[in-house]
Amino acid sequence: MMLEELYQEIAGNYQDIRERLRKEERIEKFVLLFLKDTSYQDMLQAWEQGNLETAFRAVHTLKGVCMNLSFDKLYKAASEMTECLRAGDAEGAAKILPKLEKCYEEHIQAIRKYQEG
Amino acid sequence: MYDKRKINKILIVDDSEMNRAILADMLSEQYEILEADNGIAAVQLLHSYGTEISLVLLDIVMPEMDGFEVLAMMSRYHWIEEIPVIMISAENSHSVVERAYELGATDYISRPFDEVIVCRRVINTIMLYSKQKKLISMVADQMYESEKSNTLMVSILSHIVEFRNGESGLHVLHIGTMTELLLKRLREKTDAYDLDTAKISMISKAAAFHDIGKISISENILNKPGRLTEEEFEIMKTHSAVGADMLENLPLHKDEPLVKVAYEICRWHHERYDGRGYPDGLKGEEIPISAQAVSLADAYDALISERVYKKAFSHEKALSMILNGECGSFHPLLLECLSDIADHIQEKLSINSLNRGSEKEIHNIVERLLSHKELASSNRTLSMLEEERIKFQFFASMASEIQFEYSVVPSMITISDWGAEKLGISRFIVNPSENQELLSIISKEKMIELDQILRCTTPDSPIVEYEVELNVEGATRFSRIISRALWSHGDKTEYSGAIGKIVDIQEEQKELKRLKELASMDPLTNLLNGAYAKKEIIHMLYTYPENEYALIIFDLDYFKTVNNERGHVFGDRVLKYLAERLKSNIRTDDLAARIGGDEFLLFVRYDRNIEQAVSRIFSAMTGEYDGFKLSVSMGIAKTTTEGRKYSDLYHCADLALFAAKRKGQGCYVFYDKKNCTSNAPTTISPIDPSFEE
Repeated sequence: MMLEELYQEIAGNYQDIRERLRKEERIEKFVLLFLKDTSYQDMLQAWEQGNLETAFRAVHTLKGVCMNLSFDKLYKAASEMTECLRAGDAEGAAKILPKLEKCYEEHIQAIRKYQEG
Repeated sequence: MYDKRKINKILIVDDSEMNRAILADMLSEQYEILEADNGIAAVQLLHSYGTEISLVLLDIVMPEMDGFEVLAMMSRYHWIEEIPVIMISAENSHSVVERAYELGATDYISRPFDEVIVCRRVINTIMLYSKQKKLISMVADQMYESEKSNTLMVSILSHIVEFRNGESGLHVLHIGTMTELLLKRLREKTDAYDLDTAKISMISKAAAFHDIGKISISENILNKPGRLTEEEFEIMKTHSAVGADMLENLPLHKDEPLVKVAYEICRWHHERYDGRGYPDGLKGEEIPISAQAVSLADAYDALISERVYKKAFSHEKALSMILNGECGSFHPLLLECLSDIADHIQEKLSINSLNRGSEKEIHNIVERLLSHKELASSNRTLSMLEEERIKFQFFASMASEIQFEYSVVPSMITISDWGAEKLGISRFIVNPSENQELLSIISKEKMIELDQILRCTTPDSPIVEYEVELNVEGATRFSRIISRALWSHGDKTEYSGAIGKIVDIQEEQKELKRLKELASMDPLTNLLNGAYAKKEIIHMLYTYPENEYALIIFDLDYFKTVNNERGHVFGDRVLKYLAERLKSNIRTDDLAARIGGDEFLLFVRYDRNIEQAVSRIFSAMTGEYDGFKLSVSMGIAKTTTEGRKYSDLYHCADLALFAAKRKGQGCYVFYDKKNCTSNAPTTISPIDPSFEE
């Protein structure tokens, strides 16, 4: 699978990242690095412990990472979650969480598939 | 090989490793990259690298310490003036960006990162800053040059006037210094006059012109030794308006701020607050504050200087004359300022006089330094600061001491490496009064108390020694915190934090306690000694007025015989034995002391039946020790009948003991006026002469 196909699958913006990061190898390096990024797990953990402030910071980081990787769909989900948690709206966040979870898993699976060739 | 292009270090601060990696990847070809994953780590790196860092890329939302707080720290340490900061954040809201700029950020890059934009902005900012640094130093040098010639012109001109007046030549300098002191103090008291440092400095300089109008007054009048006639005085009075006209009619420069201030001063430095001055009879706030300050300074200096028509008055006399209104009326607030600075005036004026001699030399040194053009002044200051920082860190690391630095804004404590390790806490502690790590070492109350004490110091005596129990490595340790409050010297003196160190005084305290105990003990019997017992008894009588006590003195009958027949070593053993029995027969609150060779004192509290208690102690003291028959004679005085004065109680007990001896020994007697004569000799032979009444 090509990088471009991966971006199609996860509804990211390949053209955008290509323009910004310039080199294919560099894009690949960071996309693969996303598998090791812990901000999503950090958010889940803080959420389960009821620590909204830490959860906010973690999902905020996730949002920034997605933005940099042009993962537009996940970025959008993370953004919604960020705003809910920023406002301290736990109820709203609980509603959004399943969507974010699904979207995140899709990304991870697609990237793994790409990694395996 | 040394890569010249990598000479610049860039610090990337972002809590996401991924984001740091992307930026590092974009920049690492040209720059050396330092990374920090939160604000505290960033401040730590800034501490250790200082201005070696050429640029900071700073995220806003981070754990521990966020980007705004990092900016605040950077401005506190003045890094922000030398190290540009570019904010990077997914926050694009206007207010966030605005706040970052307000706190001193140079630029803002929003996510997602674009390689071209990131590299371009970084290069631009670094170049801009280095250009700016060069420009600043060039301007500073030029300003220094022009400043120097300005001051020179001012002093030449004013000295011409002065020498013509036959004045000492110090008058102009004194007035400048006094004016500056008065206005600085005034600024601390009120914001009403919009006095900043530059304005005060300008007024003080312009003060030199106050008497230039005297150039038009004939020398006969100026230097007349006696009183001026009314006519002469009228001529003399024209000097203020004349001087002002001279400045107003300057063909060039009359719009310069310095000239304008000088005009005010010339024209109105003889006006008085109540409107009785000249030339215009202005009143109160109609008189510019510059002229008011100079006129007060002029009045003071005229009084303490010798003139052809008068002798010099003392500083104290001059002050009281002015404050009593003998020199006309002045602004009440300025008079307050004069009283406030009264103690410093003489010192400051004498410093200024001395400086004149060395002025030339200072100029020479400065000139020599300035001839090294590549070493421009601001860079020089920087490199000196850098050197100081390295020195400080070096000594701190060698010292094996807990050293700390506290800043009020942002509220933060920085602890030396060694100290942090010793205490087992972080080097950087934000918001200390809420920090759990720190609170496990020192209680919140103590921390707040120390802060209060520091705030109550003054810039003149800023050092505080504070003793407190700290919890170090799981044990309570007596510690002394020696700390110095830092007072900022900006426009207003303000408490900005403190530095200090923590010294362990546990051993010292222990030793002190041991010495205290030692000083209170009789070495043979381990009972209290007489002097200490006396102090304690007086203390108890005073502290517990509700309690009734009995003071008992007793001695061992036939003790002399024991010493003579069986030797002193045996005698000592008898005394020790007796002391042990005594100790086991009194309550812990009671006092037992050895006050003479074989004399003892007891001080016991009693409720009702003192007879019974005394009888019990008496029989405990009676018996046998190693073939020696123990027998004592006792005298007792009670607070219920003899009052609460120590000397009375002691005297009565002594008399009662004498009565017991007379009765044939081996008995006890309560003091009573009838059975105890007051002319009996004292039975006590003190060990300690200071114990005698």
